[in-house]
Amino acid sequence: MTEKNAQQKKQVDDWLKYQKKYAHGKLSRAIALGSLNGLLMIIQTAMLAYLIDLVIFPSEDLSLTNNLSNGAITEGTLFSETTLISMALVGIIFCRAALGYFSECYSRRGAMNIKGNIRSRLLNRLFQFGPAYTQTKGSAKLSHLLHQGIDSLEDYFAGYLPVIAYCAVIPLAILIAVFPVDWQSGLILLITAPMVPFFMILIGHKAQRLNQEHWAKLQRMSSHFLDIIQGLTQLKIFNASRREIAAVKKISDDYGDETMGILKIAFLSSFVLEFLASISIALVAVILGFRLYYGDVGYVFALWVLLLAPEFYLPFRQLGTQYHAKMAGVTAAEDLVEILSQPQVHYSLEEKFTAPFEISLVQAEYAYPERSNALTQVNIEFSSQGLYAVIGESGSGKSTLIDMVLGFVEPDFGQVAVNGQPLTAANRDHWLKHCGWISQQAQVFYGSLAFNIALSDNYQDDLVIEALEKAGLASFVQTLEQGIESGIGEDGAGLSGGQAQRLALARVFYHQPDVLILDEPTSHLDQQTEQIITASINAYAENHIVIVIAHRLHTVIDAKKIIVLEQGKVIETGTHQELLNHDGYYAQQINL
Amino acid sequence: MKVFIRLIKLLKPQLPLMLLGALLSVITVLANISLLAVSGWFITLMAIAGTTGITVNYFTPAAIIRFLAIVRTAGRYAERMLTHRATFNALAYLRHYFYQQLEPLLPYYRINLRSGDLLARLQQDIDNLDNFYLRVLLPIVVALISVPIVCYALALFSSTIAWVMLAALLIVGLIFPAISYLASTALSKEKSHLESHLTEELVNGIGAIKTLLVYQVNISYQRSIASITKQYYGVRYRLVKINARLSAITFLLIHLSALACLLLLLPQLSTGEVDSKSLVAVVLLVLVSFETVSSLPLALQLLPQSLASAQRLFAIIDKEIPTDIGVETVTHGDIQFENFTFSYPESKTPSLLDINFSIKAGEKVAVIGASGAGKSTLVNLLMGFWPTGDALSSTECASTADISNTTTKSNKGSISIAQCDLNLIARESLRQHIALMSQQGHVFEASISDNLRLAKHDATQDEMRKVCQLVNLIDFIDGLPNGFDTWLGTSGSGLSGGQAQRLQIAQLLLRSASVLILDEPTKGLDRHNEEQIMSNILAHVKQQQQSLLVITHKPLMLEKMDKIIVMEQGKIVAQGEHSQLVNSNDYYQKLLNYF
Repeated sequence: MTEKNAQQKKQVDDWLKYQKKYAHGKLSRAIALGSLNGLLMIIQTAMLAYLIDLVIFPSEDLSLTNNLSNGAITEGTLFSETTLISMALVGIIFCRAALGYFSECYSRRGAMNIKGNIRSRLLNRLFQFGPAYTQTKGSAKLSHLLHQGIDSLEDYFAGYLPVIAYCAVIPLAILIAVFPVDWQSGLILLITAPMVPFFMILIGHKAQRLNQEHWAKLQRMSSHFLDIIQGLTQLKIFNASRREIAAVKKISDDYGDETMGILKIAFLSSFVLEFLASISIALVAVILGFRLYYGDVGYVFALWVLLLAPEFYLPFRQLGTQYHAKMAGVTAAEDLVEILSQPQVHYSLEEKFTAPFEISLVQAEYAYPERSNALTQVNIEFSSQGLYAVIGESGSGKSTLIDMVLGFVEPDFGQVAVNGQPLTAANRDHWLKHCGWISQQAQVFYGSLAFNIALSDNYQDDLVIEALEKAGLASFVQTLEQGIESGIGEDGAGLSGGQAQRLALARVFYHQPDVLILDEPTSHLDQQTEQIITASINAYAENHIVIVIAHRLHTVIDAKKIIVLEQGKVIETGTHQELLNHDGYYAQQINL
Repeated sequence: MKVFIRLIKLLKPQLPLMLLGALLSVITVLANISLLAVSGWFITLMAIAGTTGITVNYFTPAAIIRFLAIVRTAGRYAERMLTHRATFNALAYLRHYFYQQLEPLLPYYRINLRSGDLLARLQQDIDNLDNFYLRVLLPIVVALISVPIVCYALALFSSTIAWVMLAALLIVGLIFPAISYLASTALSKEKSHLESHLTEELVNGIGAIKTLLVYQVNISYQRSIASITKQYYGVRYRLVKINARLSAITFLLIHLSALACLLLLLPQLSTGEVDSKSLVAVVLLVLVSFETVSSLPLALQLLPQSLASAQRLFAIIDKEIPTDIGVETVTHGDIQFENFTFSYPESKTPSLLDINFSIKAGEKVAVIGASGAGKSTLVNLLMGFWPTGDALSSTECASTADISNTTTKSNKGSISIAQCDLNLIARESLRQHIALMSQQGHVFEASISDNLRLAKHDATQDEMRKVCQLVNLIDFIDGLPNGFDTWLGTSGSGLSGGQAQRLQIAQLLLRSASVLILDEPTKGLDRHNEEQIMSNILAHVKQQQQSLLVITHKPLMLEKMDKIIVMEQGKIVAQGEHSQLVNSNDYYQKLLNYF
């Protein structure tokens, strides 16, 4: 278990590092600028120390050269030097501000490039895997991963990664600068420096273990309040809502205690870090003080080292604050790696399908992961034009059957073939060119009416209008000011359920697929709409293969073949009359 | 401001701890600032002593430095512990408070907390308040106390510098954030617009993946997502630039003001008004003094958010609490709807029109009809979730006056149990008498037995086993490694839709009520379970002598019912036995054709 975890962790880490290349050098540039900023900081503190030294102890150097004889000149040179250094210092400050600005911009830009790239790739993979995969994963969860999940990587790339680099560069540069000047102070810094990561790792491990132990518990507690609010009506029904008041208080208190337990560790780690930093700054200051007293070291150097000491620990402290960014990034990356590391689908370019079609399912079986069979030994043929109806209880395998015909689900055993050619993920898209689909709840996309029918911005107006007429939407379009160019907004706003369903029908008439598959709408449409849709579909079935998942028995009476499914098995097939004569499940339903 | 004061008042019990935390914060910040200043002062002193050869008392400053280092570190630790403790106390208190306030309101106001949007907002709002003290209040208090102290300390050396620094701190803490806020308002709006647009497109697209694939438009969809992403990141990048500019300017101001202070002090140094040790101390003090306002920009940014959250929450809990005037208790008797008409206050058309029917003790009644026919309204009223006409008109409060006017106008007739008007029955007693399995039932994130015990808090293991057997759930539960102690909900192992439904039926069967109501009981159940469970339920109510009301749109076991009520658009279009209706009623026949 732990070994597997370690391996998985390494995979995630490697993956995250590998993504850096998609920033196209922006991250490296950001880190370079940031490091340069750190080096300039060393020069800046040196100049500040020099300047202070200059104004505090002016007489010392000058007395040696000028012997106090010419006060005016002394004043003049002093002030000109002060001005000169001040000017240089201002210059450096401006440079550092600019470097900081560009470094931040580059790192954010780089992170955004990476995220955009990951989003494109992830989306591409999801479309390759198709609806069978997205449904098992949950489309809500996947959309969340695609948006917020990927966005939570930003701080990892723009925050955590640069700080890691600064931790290596800046303290080292400070040590290199300090050692030649004053090795004792350098030694203090050098000795305390490795202790910082050492303690952080030590405490970090303990915190992580604690974290894992309490994570599930904390998750439960933090969502408990919302859970109770969500189920308040339920509690009321049971006369239990007042009783829960005490529980809310207790669980919230416990949540605080538990979290404090974990935070205590986190605080302790920063306590150690701060303690080390403070003590060594204090030590540096005191030791420098005494060495100044005994004349061991020049004032300017002492002041410089004192100014550098806090900067020495700064990257480590920043690392502590970026820890969350790292954890969030790794968590999101785990889900991403899982999807992106699935094997690629290789599309075949040659296998094409030509009408007329004969679709056959031979001994097809399929089971969703970790569930019992959704379909067992299914043998069906859809060989010529006409209306085919699939009926059965929910969970009887109707949707899986349809997904198989569309090539979204590959049977575990047996096969699905079109004109004798097996249907696979590789030739799926070629097959789909000949298919049309209407779902139970018609999907309306953001865009114009015409876009929704053609599903493309390049549409032929006359074809769109013809499709609308066939679907019985022509009169509705005439009421719209902008006609087929009218936007129909988000979530089909402005369209009733019946209109949306007719829109989906118009989509079919526009594309004229050879094979039309539809899931009959169960939501109540008004009678007129229902009649229009049924009539149109029956008419379409005269020249095409139409497969309908039927929920209402009166719509299937005229079907060429009715397929009855129960618990993944085909239990009856035939026409309405044949099935009545058979006196099985179907007849039982009709005569209920 | 009102909201702010109300929020502070709410937090009153936590204030001592909060103020103590703030005090520690101030001490820590000041210790941190002084540490560097005193260090500078000390080494300058030592340098002067070294060059001039004067003996000085170096023990005191060295001790002060060590002392400050310890205060800073220990202070930070103690401050964090204390402020977080206070935060969690406040969190527990606020949640308790909001629950207490929300409890009487639901589901009276039909606040649909199952809709993800509202729940997400509520969660966000409560989270925002969780951080109110730590992220908003604390930085403001720290800045308010420590800025004057720093400026006072500077004034001891030079009043000019004190004024300069006061201005600089105000600029960094208040004016810069204000400018950047103004500069980014338009962009922020665009950002959140694009953000929700992206979410919507992703949710729609992944939901409609089949349609996109079948019509071969997945490539253009992917392109459109890429272009929205590009726009979205474009706007985000412009915001990043504004922020980066802000920090660059802040950086400039900090370092330039330190330099300016140095140069400003030069004349005073030459006149001897300020000694060189103090000069160094002042320059270093200035450099680090900006720490006092470093969290202020974020706090000011979050302040309006927190207040808006508080306002939204207050708006919910400030709603008029429905009056419960019922005092009567009820234990048995017939339920009678008499010429009953009802409409919700906000709607013009009545949801129920001239309803007449009764449920006699021990009777089994089914209500069937399409969604929107008024079946659920019927149940809500029967459970006392909404007062009917008479109760509302008796409330004196002005704000409900218009509601009561409209309701009394259109609400007629009565619902009674054992000849006692529903409104006169205490809610507790009513819900003891009538038990409901609602369509919006909720499975709590708790163990299976905890969930069952919600229905009957003293249910024994045997009772629980028995009802689980009735709903065909016992094999499943016994197959679980933890059995009845299995944790359910999002963070625990989940139940399938059908299993959750059966668990809720089990909960209902645990209730020792005289009337059981099942709202769409067989939703998500397969045929086999459906039949078996329904006959188990029928046997159970017969044995317990309970009345049964089944709301359904599925033709299920209707022949076993004593009475079937067919509803359409708020009206009863037919009632009677199955054998009567199946021959006489058109709608009923049509309904039977649905699967």
